[in-house]
Amino acid sequence: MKLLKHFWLLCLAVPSLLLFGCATIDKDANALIVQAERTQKIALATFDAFLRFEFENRASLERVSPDIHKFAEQIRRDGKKWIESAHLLTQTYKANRTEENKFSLMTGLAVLEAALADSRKYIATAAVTPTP
Amino acid sequence: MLYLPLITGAVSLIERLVPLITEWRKAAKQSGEMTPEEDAEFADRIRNITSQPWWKPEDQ
Repeated sequence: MKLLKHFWLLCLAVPSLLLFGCATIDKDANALIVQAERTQKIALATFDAFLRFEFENRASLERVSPDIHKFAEQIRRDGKKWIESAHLLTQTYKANRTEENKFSLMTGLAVLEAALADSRKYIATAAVTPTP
Repeated sequence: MLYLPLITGAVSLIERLVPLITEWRKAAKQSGEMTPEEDAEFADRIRNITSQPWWKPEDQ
């Protein structure tokens, strides 16, 4: 179970280091669009890895916290919709960079980022809870 | 026998972590906007992701 904790700690630490440690944006690129695209890619990879790990280790994780499974089920139901929505809003803003489309994209990204924040919360729960 | 679950768990972790870290590194390295081709490829990845068994909700 120590390995399980290390997995979650890595899940917490690595994206933060990658996102905030070495994030650069080309001069001619739109920062909001680049950030939106990065967030979608990271969300897709994180949700996929989290769901697969939860699927393969459900019994162990149930002992850590039943909420982890509940959250995984929420991601299974809505995760794809959140990413698709953010992707569509990004494409809309790319094609037509109005303030209205910018606001819609920021709103869509906020939903996705909230889900990622919740992922981190449950990951942290698994990381700090003593396991049998 | 005592170490079998640990070994299985370690293999599972490595299998999950390697592609995940690769994806994170690729995403973090992105410095410009995605091209239409990259956009289409990413849209395909989103579309196909739920075909994996671990994406199926329990009640389905």
